[in-house]
Amino acid sequence: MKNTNRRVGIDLNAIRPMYVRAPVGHWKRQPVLTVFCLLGMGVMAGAVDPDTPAARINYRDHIRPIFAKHCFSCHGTVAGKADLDLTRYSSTLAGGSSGKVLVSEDPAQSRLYLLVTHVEQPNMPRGQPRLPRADLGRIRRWIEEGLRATAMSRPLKGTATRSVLSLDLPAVHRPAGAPHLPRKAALQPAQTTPRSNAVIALAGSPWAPLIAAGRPQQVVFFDAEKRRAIGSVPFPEGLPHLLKFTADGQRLLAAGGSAGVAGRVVVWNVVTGKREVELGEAEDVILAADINPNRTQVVLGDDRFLKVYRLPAAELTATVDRHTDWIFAMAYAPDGSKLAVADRAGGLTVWDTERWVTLETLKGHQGAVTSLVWRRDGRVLASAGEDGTIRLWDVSRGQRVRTWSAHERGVLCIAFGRRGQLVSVGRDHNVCTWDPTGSLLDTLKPAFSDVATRVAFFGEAERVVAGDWTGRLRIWPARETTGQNLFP
Amino acid sequence: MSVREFRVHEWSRHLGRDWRRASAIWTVFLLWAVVAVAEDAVTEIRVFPDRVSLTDRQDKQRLIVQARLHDGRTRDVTGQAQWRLLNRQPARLTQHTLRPMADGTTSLQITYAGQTRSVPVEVKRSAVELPVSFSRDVMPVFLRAGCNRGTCHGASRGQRGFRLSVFGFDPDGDYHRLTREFVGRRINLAVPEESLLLLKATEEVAHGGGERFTVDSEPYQTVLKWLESGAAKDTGEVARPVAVEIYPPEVVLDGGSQRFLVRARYSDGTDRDVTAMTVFSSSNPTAAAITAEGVLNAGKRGESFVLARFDSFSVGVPVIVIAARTDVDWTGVTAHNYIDQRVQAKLKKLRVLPSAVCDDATYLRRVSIDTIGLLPTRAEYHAFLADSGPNKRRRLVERLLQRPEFTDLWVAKWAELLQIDRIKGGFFGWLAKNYNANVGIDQMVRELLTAEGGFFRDPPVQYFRRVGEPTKLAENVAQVFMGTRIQCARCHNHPFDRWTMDDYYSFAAFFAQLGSKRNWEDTRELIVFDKGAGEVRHPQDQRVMPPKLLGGAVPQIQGRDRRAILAEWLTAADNPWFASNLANRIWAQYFGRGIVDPVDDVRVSNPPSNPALLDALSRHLVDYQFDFRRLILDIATSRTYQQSVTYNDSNRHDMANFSHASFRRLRAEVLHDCLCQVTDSPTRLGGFPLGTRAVQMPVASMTTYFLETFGRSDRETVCTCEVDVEPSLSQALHLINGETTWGKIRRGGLVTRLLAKYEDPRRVLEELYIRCLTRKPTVSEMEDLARLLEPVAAREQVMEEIFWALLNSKEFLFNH
Repeated sequence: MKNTNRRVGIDLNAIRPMYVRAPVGHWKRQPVLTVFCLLGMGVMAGAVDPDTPAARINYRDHIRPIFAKHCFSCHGTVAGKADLDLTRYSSTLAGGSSGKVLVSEDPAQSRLYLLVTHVEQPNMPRGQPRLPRADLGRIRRWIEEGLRATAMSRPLKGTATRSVLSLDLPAVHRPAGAPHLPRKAALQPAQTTPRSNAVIALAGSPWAPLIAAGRPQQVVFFDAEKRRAIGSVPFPEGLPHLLKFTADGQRLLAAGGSAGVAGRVVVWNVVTGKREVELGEAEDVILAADINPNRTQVVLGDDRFLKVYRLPAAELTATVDRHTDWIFAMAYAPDGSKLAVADRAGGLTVWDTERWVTLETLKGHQGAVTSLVWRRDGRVLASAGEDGTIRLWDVSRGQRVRTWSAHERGVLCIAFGRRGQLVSVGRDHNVCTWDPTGSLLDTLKPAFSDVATRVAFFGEAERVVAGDWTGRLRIWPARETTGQNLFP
Repeated sequence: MSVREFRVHEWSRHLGRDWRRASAIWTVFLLWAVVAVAEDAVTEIRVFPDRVSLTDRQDKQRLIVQARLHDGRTRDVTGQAQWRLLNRQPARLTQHTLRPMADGTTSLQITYAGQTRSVPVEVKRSAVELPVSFSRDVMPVFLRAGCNRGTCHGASRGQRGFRLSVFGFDPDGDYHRLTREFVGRRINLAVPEESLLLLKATEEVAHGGGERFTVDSEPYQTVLKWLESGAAKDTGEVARPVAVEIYPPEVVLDGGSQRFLVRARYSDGTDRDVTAMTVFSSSNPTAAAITAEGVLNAGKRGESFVLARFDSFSVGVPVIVIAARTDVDWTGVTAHNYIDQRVQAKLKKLRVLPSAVCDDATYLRRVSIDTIGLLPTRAEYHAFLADSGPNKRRRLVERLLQRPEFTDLWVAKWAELLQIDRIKGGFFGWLAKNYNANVGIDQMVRELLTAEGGFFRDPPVQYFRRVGEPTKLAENVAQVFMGTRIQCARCHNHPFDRWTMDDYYSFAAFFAQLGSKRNWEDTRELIVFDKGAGEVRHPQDQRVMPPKLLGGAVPQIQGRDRRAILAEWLTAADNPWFASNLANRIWAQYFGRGIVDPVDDVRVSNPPSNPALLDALSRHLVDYQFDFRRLILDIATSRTYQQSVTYNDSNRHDMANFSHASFRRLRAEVLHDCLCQVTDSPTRLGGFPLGTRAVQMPVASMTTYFLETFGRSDRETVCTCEVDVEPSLSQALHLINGETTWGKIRRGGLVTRLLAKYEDPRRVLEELYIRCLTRKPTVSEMEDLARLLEPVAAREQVMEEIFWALLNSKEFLFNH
């Protein structure tokens, strides 16, 4: 397990996700590596390539040069802005007028790290571009590994409660058996139109190389490996506005309908192509819906009303009138105990799915909330909106733990990966990946030529698929950042 | 019920009883009508447009034919005329519309009533299919269909989340909102005809705004074509409209209908028939109702102004609807000067007879109030009535114009427009001094607009104190000196006028470099100066706006004070706004209504009721070197001004063409001064000596309850609407019960003095009547009142009551 983690962490270029614990930070658990490091210390401290796992990132050799280059002009001994002096190790640890800026082993709570990664404001260094990715990676590793003063120092033990964003996620349980793929007989040929619509409904199977996209009157399946459409299931109700695979990848939910006329929610068995659920009597398209993990409940947004249906009878059991504008997004927590709901006016609420009482009202979004997703452990909810921000919420405490500007002029869609990482698309035409604390990992290349509208992870390797306003769908192979058009 | 009404009722009852008799009458009438029509002689036929140029495959041009009859009436004879295309190769003609076939030229021959007109037709690029452009082709749809009206999606929050820029001032924003704001909803490029935009507009699905257009309409086809071509954003230079024309330019109907055409000229030199994309409206639908397609139907007699809006352009045509066969006897109506000629020309067109000339006493009262803001004294009354010399009315006006009270009246008016709000600094004094010295108003305005220096030493500088920002200054200058309101264009293109946001901010740029600083020798004093730097930016895209004269050119500003350029342009003899605005304001003082009304709301959709009259007045004002007195002499001696308030059958409903005098309540200060005058009881106002009149008060803060109630301007804005002359209940109650009337009657002690002076109470009555109403009591009034005065003991009390009644009479409160 440990080895797997290490490999993944290293492969994620310079900046590594939080939960990947650096081996050198854990003396007792990694005797072999420790010995290696101790041997190498005296002669190699300065010489070791700082970006290898063997390097012991420390203040004197690695971090101070970065600070000297970018920070000393303001945060020096003389001019120490905000009383922060980064020229000495002790004063760096002591922090500035607003307190400590570093929390050992927890970058997500280290203000210095959050400011230089531009996750929080004011952006540092002031008025300059963000530091090079490699430098940020070193600062991060330095914090994670315990803020060493020199290569020979002992790491500082983390004392503060770890941020929810730094928690280790539980082990992933891959469902037994082959991933669910549609049988040939289950599908009809995919129809095409001379001109395509914007991609407005897109989903990726969590385990299979399977992508579903909405088209007028149908949902089209793509085989991501062969990069071609393999067929469709009909959606005569109109245009699908939302597609979602269940966590096991066995079922696909669609919501949508005919604008100004009717809205419906449909759930198919992916393998057989059979409709298992059909419900909703909305008078306009349904933009948000979800099915709970044990498939006993479906929720949908009918204008500003949240409607709850019991399965398998598909009977309406509750109508919740709490939101003030059209419901744009909703998502069940992974265990199904909670439901997050968001609307066009920026309202965001979390509900108890048994008693239908509000657990939390999460305030902050200016403008429509476009997308809601839960982290795999159900501790963190991510929301994105037209205000251009992605916000991470610690739901058990009802607190916002991170907010950052992700896409200028608006974020249209986000998705959580199994390791807590995020992918997002927005009006700036970009597809971006973010580490669990909200620091930018990559801007995937090439960017779209128009507004990027939807994004999803798919397959066991969590590859990225995204679509744009012109109707183009593009997939990115694992661990490479150059995407390919689904239709070359 | 009047006698006439009774007769009409009787007559109609007869008709109801005996339909055969009625039908006989109708037959006679119809026969007479046929004969009458046959009498109509066509003097001219006109074809619009007079040349046709078709420049792409979809281009088309409709034509209309209008006949003018001998008496100035017009007829739409498009359907009756003979149409012939000389060469049928380049173009085809269907339903009076030309469409291109192949490149080339031809000529269209149109014949009616023996007259033929030939219209050259040119066809170019007939094979070229122009792509649908969002800004050029689609944006006009939203204006035409009413989608972007302020009450619909043009509201600041839109409707149900969908917003369009009001009247389409922001095409880029509208493009974004339609295509990308709510991805997947408003348009459907896979199945364009299923786009919600089209489904809602045609009410295929429920739409709060109802059906805006039908599937077979031009707006629908335009939007559909745009969607089919991928709802692309405009790339490169798209031709924009630079001028819009409406045809025919003049319409005088006595029934029937008239079709209108609107043609837009574009920046690339082409033109288009945009009638189907134009919004038509009529200012008076009772007289002339207009359909969405631009067909005007004559209604009751009256005048209307047809306004056509396309893009940011508004163009209009005056329409006159006259009753069929109304003959008016003009004998005895003379024209004293150029004013009467123009007024009467218009009245002849309308077949309206002006009222008779009023009597001497009425004229004396009217012209005194309008010119000096006071009533004639008893001595003046007797002298004027006794005067039997020639031109006695003219001599009277000449005398009044030399009185200091004349200056006071106009200084007060300007103090309102310049929003003078403090005595210190001598702004009011500067105004009065200039007026007394008969300095031309153009020179005063130049001095005012270019003022520099300290508040204490250079009085006109105060004009720039109250208003600190360039846009506000620009708005005020436009409203006060040009009589046009540009405020709307601050946030969006003016919906009923020509002003765009560009015009607004470019005009404001003239005041961008105005700076102020404290005088360090005396820190109470502010100094205004020209900074030589500073710009105004367009709020949408932060462009720096170069100073551009409103409706004029972009002047050369290098090394010059921008305000000097503005002042020079504004007061130039050929400025189209300045003199005409001043002339109109003077006119309004004498008629209670401007030729353009309100006087500070000149706009395309609010045209002058008599353009020729306004034009003549402003030309004369320029010729007189902006000497108010000379123009006033022309106005006050015209027959038009001397008309009686008594109307005749033909001018009963005329409000705007000055065919009779109108009743005007005296404005607050004048009424106050007249009250003081007739009661011999002045009010102490502010800290000024007793006897100083309300008109002479330099600032609005020196006020009384009376002045407030009667709607004196508090000078908060430059709008003429600050002065309120509408009657109200509190005014009536104040006159009846308030301190002012009774207090003045008692304090003045006039009744006591007069009763002591004259033995005969009839003489007292007569004097009170002359003082208040500038006339003697009528015989019956005298008899009734004299009876009340018989008991000697109560005589004083009764006389006071009579005096009170006179002051409460409408005859006193109104100028007539």
